[in-house]
Amino acid sequence: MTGVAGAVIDLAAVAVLVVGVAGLWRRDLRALVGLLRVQGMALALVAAATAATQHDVGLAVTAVLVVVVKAGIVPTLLGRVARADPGARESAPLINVPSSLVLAAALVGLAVVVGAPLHALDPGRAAALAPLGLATVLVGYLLLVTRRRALSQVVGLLVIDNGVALMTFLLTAGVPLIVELGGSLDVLLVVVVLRALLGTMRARLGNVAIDELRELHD
Amino acid sequence: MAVLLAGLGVALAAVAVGAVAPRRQRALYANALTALAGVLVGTAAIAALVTGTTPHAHTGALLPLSGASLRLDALGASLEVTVALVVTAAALFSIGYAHGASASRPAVALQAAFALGVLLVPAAGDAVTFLGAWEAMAVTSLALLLVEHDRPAARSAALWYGAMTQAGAAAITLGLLILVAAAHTTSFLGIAAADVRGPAAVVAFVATVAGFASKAGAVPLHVWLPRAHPEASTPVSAMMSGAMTALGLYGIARVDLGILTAIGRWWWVGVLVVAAASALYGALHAATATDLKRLLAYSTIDAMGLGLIGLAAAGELRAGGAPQAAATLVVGALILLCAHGAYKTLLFLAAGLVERATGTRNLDLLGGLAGTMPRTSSLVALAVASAVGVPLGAGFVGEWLEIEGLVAGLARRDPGGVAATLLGLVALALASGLTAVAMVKLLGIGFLGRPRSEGARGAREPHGIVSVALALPALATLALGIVPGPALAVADRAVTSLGGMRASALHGSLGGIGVAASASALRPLALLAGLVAATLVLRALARAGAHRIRRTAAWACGRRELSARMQYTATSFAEPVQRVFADVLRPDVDVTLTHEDESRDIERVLAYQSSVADAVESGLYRPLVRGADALGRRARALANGSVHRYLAYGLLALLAVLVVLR
Repeated sequence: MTGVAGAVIDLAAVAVLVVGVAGLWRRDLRALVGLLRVQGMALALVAAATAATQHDVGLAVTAVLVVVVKAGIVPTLLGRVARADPGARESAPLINVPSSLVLAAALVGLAVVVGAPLHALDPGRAAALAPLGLATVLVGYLLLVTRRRALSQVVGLLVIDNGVALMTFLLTAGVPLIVELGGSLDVLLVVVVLRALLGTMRARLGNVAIDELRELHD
Repeated sequence: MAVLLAGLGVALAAVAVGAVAPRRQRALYANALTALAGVLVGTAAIAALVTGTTPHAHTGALLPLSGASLRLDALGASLEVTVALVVTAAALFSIGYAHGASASRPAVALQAAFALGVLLVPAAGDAVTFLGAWEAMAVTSLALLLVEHDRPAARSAALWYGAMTQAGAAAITLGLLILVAAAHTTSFLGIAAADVRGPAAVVAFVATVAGFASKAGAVPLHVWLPRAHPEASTPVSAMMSGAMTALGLYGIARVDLGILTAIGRWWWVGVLVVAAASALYGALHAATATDLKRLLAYSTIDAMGLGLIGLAAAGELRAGGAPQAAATLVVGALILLCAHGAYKTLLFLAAGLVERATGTRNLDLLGGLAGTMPRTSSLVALAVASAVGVPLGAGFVGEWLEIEGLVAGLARRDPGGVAATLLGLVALALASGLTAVAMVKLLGIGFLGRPRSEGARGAREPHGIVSVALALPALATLALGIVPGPALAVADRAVTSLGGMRASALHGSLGGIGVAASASALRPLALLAGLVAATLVLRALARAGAHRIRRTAAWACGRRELSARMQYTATSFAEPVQRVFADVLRPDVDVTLTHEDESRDIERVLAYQSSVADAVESGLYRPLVRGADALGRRARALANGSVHRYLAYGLLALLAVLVVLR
């Protein structure tokens, strides 16, 4: 692994996690979508730098795909939802921002401890970063659990997906193109469906706060 | 092997035909194919037994990882003959009997699938195939209970049966998986060769015995049986009782007796106690039941208990150093299963005919059927004779062999073992007596005497293929009862195919059965000849001495003024038994007296109601169900409808997994 590409991978992988944590901090829904776009770009950067070090054409195509789907189409679709409701903010998260940041720190620590054996799978430099992917997954999950707005929850889901993708890029030096293609299509499908669902929910219920939907049991 | 595979293939085709054939031909084609499958599989099993071969086949294509393998050794084949007989009779019966809900597309297809399942279980050669076939049998029979799902009784029976059968299947799966893990192979031969010992063997023993015994209706796991048998349609209840419950005991013989040979004898004594309790409990309830099918269901518990006494005592005797007596007991249990399959199928099918002809199953409303349905009645009398265990009946052979084995087991210098054997012997004797009460009641109250209701008076003998279906198990009962020698030779070979078992000291021939080194012998042919001669002599004497024959109403002591309501009824016949065993049965007796207004001494109306509920169900299962229900209600607080809470559960579970697997 060359020096520059390695540094880029380091930086971009950390950026993926940091952006995820920032998602816990920002309350503005439009800013949240913006963060998602940044995270997608950082993820694509990881893929591209890995492709450069390994001279892997398939991975390079994957990187392009990640840019198009995760930094392009998906945030744009979600952005439209956010714009339809200008000034919408995550009113009151179930856990307030400072506490959730502390929790996020704890989760990152846990991910580092738990993910340490992952390094043994592939003693390269990239695999040592794999706990970052795990940490991103956990942070995304925290976002999913603590946010009331439906849109923030969708963002949480996508952060989880980005964490999984980061882990696969770092651990396996890229997944086969066809797998990534399938994964991306799935994510796209989920976002399209959720967007339609969000539109319907807003039309029927107005302000979409998941907490108020309590008719699921029995 | 080819015939066996052809039979199973035809059974599969029957399922497909039942699922796609048009309404008019559905029952005919599917059941004819099932009957053909039964004949083919039965032929293959008999051929394997006669030639002494063990057909086997293996394919990697059907089931993942282990593949599916079939192996029909002597034990499997001897059970397979019984199962094939029951399946064939039930399928032929269905051709003439199916109508309404039981002729619907799902019912016909499921019944064919159930037949395929029961045919497959004894032929399974490895644990995975066995579990697959077992589950197919359990699930299809459960679905068949729900064919008439608009009746609450059927739904409740299905709930009980579903819970019990799935818990049993889970226990069996657990036990077999432990064995497979310890032996590193799924094939029964390989597991038996691995000789599993230690705590793993004990856990596997307890789990498999519990699972198999629940299928065989052992107390206290029997509660599903008296509900499910009466609620299923007639051919299905015949298959359930004649074939499926027998397969429970087959599982115990195959896995616990044949594979877990190193298990301690006191475990077997525990099974023996359960078996004795089942036999007595089943016989007692059968003696007091007034519903025809419920009586038969309890008598199934009784008969399976008798078979289990044989197997459990055999396990104890083998460990206690009396292998020949153990072999005699297993032979007896196998013949008892075969006899039970034949006579119980006949009785269930006849009960279905009686219910259809009279509109009731209540024995208190039947009677006089010997006059209106003479053919069915004589076949029922044959089956009853076999069930009661009088000589020349098939049941007698099995019970006699079990008693021979138990008596041989008494000749030991080991007080504990002798006490256990004695327990088996006493339970066998008492249960046989109570069975006789139940069966005499069935025949006497249900078929003899005078009709007690309009329905019974207007009953008509059915014609056509249903009679053929009834004759088939009747012939088998007769053959087994009169010429038991060949069956004994076959069962003896089945016993030696079990691990750690020697051949018994019995030798069977066409003339009868003899026990080596003992004077006792069974010679049914000689008995039959003597009986026929004596009957002819008596008949001739009666003819010679008779002057005038006066015909009068049945059961009226020669008097004319006694009405049909003055006869013995099922309730009054069983009343002494019910009174003696009131502490066990806990009958609910209700006597209502209404007095004339003028005088307290003149009674106007006297109403007597007596019902016997299942004490195990009300004493053990009701509190259990209530407890589970309360727990379920409390657990509802966990799921309050908040999406965030559900997501938090997911996150916590993920974190827990990460920490645990670190």
